[in-house]
Amino acid sequence: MMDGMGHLSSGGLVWAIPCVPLISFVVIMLFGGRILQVLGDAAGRRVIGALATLAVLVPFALSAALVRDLLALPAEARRAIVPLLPFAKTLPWIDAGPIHAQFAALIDPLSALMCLIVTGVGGLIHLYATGYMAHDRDYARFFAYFNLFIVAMLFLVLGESILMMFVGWEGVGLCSYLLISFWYDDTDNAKAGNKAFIVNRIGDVGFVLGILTIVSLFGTVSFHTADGRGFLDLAARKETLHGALGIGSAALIAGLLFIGACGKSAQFPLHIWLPDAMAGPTPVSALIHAATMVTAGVVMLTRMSVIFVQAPAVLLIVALVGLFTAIFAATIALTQTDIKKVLAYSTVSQLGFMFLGCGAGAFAAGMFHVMTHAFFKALLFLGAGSVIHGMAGQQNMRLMGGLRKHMPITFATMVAAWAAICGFPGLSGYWSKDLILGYGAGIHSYGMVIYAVGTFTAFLTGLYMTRLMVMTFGAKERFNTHEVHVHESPPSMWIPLALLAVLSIIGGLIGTPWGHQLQHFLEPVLPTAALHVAHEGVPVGVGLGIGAIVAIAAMAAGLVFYPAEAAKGEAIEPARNPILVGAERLWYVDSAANAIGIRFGGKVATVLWQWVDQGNIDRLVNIVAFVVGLLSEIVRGLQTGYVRIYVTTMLAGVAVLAVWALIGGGVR
Amino acid sequence: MSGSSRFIADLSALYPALALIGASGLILLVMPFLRRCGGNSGSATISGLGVLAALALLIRLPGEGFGATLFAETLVTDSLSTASAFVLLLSGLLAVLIAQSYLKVREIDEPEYYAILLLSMAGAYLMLLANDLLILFLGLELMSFGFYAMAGFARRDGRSGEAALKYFLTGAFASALFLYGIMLIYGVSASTEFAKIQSAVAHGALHTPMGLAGMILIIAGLGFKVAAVPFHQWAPDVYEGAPTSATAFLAATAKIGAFVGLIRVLDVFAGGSQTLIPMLRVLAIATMIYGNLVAIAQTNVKRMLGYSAVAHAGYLLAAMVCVAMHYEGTAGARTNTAAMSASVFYLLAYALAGFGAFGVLAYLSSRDKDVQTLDDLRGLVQRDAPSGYALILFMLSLAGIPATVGFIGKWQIFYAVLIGGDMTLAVTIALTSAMGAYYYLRVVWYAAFESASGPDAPRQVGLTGAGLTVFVSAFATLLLGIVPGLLTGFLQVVK
Repeated sequence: MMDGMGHLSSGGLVWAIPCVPLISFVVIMLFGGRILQVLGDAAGRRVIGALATLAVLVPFALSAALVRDLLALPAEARRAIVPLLPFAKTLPWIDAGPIHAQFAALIDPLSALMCLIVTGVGGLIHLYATGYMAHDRDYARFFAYFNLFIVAMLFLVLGESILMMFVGWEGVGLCSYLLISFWYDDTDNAKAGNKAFIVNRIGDVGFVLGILTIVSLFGTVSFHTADGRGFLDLAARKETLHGALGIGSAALIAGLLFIGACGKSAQFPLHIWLPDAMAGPTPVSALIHAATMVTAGVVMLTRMSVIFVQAPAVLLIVALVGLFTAIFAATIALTQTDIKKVLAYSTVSQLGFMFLGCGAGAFAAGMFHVMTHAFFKALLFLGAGSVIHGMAGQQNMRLMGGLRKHMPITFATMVAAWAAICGFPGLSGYWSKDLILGYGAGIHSYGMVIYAVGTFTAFLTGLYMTRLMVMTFGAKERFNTHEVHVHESPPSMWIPLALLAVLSIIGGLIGTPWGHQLQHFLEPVLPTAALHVAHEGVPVGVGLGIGAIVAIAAMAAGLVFYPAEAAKGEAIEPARNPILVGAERLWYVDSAANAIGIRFGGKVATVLWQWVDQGNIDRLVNIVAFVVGLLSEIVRGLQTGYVRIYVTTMLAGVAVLAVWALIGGGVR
Repeated sequence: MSGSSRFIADLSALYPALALIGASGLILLVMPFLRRCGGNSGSATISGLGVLAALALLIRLPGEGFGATLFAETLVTDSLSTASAFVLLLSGLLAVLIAQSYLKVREIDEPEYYAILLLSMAGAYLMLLANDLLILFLGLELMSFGFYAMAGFARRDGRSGEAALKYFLTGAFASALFLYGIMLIYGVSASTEFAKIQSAVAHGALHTPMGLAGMILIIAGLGFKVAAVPFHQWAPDVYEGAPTSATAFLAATAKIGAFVGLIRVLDVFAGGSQTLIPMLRVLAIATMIYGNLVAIAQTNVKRMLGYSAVAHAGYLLAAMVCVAMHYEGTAGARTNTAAMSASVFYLLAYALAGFGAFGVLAYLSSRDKDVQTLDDLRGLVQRDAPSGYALILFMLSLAGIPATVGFIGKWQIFYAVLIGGDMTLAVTIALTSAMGAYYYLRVVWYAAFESASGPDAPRQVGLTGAGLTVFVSAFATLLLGIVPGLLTGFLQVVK
């Protein structure tokens, strides 16, 4: 523990937070097959599932202790740098020139909160997955990857330096790829994994350039150090290595990092990978592509908020991109028929809300929505998974209906999540969404437009979620009940649903306009400037009132309008309204990406490959390799095997050196 | 302090060596009598415990004695000696483990092997502490005699005998060069003590023909031990012919002892002659290019690793150029300590990968089949996944691919060379590393992508010493590749 920073009584166990799942990953990866062999299939699966789940729940307990410790400290002392090694004072990781990165965790309210969310929601989803994946061929591999994801995510949120954050950032990207294409026998899944990985790479270029800019400007990669020389410390004092931190430099860093955030958090136009990512098993969608990984961009923005508030133009772009993504994705969600696709676009839309909050300077509001969204979106995905499980793999909502009778527990919990995401008064989504919209309204000169568009998006959210509920659970069964025997899911699956339902209902109460507990908890992480940038553009009471009316109106409209549409099932005639057609076709973004990126880019690549590379460069390389090989054969001949030659060579070497030294003026 | 208590205090620095010698003596005294009842695992156990005791004694060495000279200025204990001794004893432990199963399989499991191994290590330990040319020579010879005997330990194998004889003849010649160099240096400085030589060097001793010749001969003598071009030709023959366990041991130990000796000698010579740095640079470049170039044409993995040892000696010689730089201002001093720390870390990285790679060969060998060609490794990943993946890891580490300790070691040397401002060396390191990747990756190709042909070779079952060596080396290679900070602080050389 570093001096000058807070003292945590549970600090000695911080290393265990990422290391316990890491050990579990190694054990399952190396010995998973052996465990299944020795214990038999059924018992082996139970052991592996229990191990993987415990390996996330133990860090959850430690994170909870950490939050308790932080709360006991005065607000300004809530920061510590703890090496990720038991009994160590420091643990250097990369020492290169000016860079002295520690293999250590930065413990502060932001990282502690994220640890709690990642391990808490993650633990529940692990538990759910023990049921969902029970009969999968590759049970051990799934849980190994799942644990590795938790490790990477924890590195991302805990890292002491932006380099460690980057390791986690890439790690979650890798796990996302591995898990999207988990059922790799199907080419579509493999392609979806590739797509996610490649689109994320585009964002990562921005992130890497941002890191390099930070290194060149501040000469350090640490966020904070005990002596106040971390780059966030410097940026807060508007210092760099070479003088004051100008608005241009701040904007450059913020802009590059924002590109990175867009990739990971699926903001327009880099959102295209997220819906395809639903090819993975549903617990993967819930954990990675809804509750945790995709919020990494928001976490990064919040961590870097000191720099972002010094670049108002970038901040405005963040807000506008977020707002556009929110409404754009919401319209698409209205038209999809695949239950997971609707939820995927809904996630993109909700991430847009979070970015809107950050862009308004209300980073705490963005983080608040990260948390509540983690609860209800995880629940929605797990509920959808339960539905898919019960319907034996069916994902088309037009072929569902009437499931409330067959799956009462799933239905009840889904209702809670539905009400929460729609913003039903008092539920978690209500508090966080209205907070963001309130701050969005405060963005100078554009405030009211942003507020209006945001509120309309909230209305659309209510519509598409009601549509999903009606088509899935409402009306009559649109499938043959004799062929498909719908069944409620096992307890290992519905217990997490129930717990998440409770959190979706009450989870927002730590951020109400009267208490603001979460905001106050996060305040030490945020720049004091941010607290001035952000202000609410509408009175709290009015905002909450409008939010409640919009939510209830949307839910009511949906309940009135959609049962008739749902009843038609597959027989529904195609939409003619150009807006709906456009939304149904994903606003042609994917087609454009295909045309530009894959077809045109593919042509360019083919030319480069066949003409430039194979035709010319390869020939050159082959010549070099041939010459080297030839030289190698020739020089090999010098090795005769005769000792007399060896000794003569040595003597000759000494003689040459001596003559050279004499001629070269070694003697004066 | 009175003479006798001074002696006792000084002796504590030698406890690790005494533990090794004691264990060696115990084996020689006791094991011949115990052999009749049961196998020879007692020797391995005693040597393992001896090395562990030496490690414990090393770590317990008092810290405040750093930089202290002992025994009338003939020995020195400082951060360099402690860090390198740690690496030496660690590799000694792996050497015992690998021998434990390999000797049994090859049916050459004699107690003498362990006794010689421990004595050889004690010699290397002495080299690390040497503060006097004669002590350095003494340690060198004690270490080398062990190598000669161990190289010929597979008595029934003709190539083993050939290796031993070649090694002994060329080694004797190199020792003569080294001793001759000591004599000439004595001629210009009237001493064999480093401190006195250093003051003579400061007064221009190396500008005389005699001093210059002495310097060249001493570098040649140590260059032989590390297999620097043109003193390298023994290496491929010995690496191929010696029993695999002995190859692994001498590959690591000779480099540790001789390079630390070279660091000490260069520290004395630095700044005394303007031909020193160009000469070392030429040796380094020739060694890097030659080792990597010829390794490409090899089909025997042990022989290929012999040339690879030459190549790695080249990278370490590049660091030696920086070690010789330290009179050139503060930047020079920084380069100097950075290069020393980098060398010690590199020695550890090389030892781990070397023991790992030879460990895999030893692990796969059986009574009738000593695994050593590329063909023997065909489809290894399919036949025996753990050792296959481990071998791939060690090859990546030797090639210096990130996430392995070999990358960190090579990067540290590269960094020292860069802050030393020697672009020629930096470019050569980069280019020859690319050449090196070819033959290391070819092993990966054979192990992972070629399909296994012929019947499964019988191999040892269960946890053997060689298997344990592979496991420990693989674990350390990966762990230190990701978090080098676990040891970089401990292996840091300070002045």
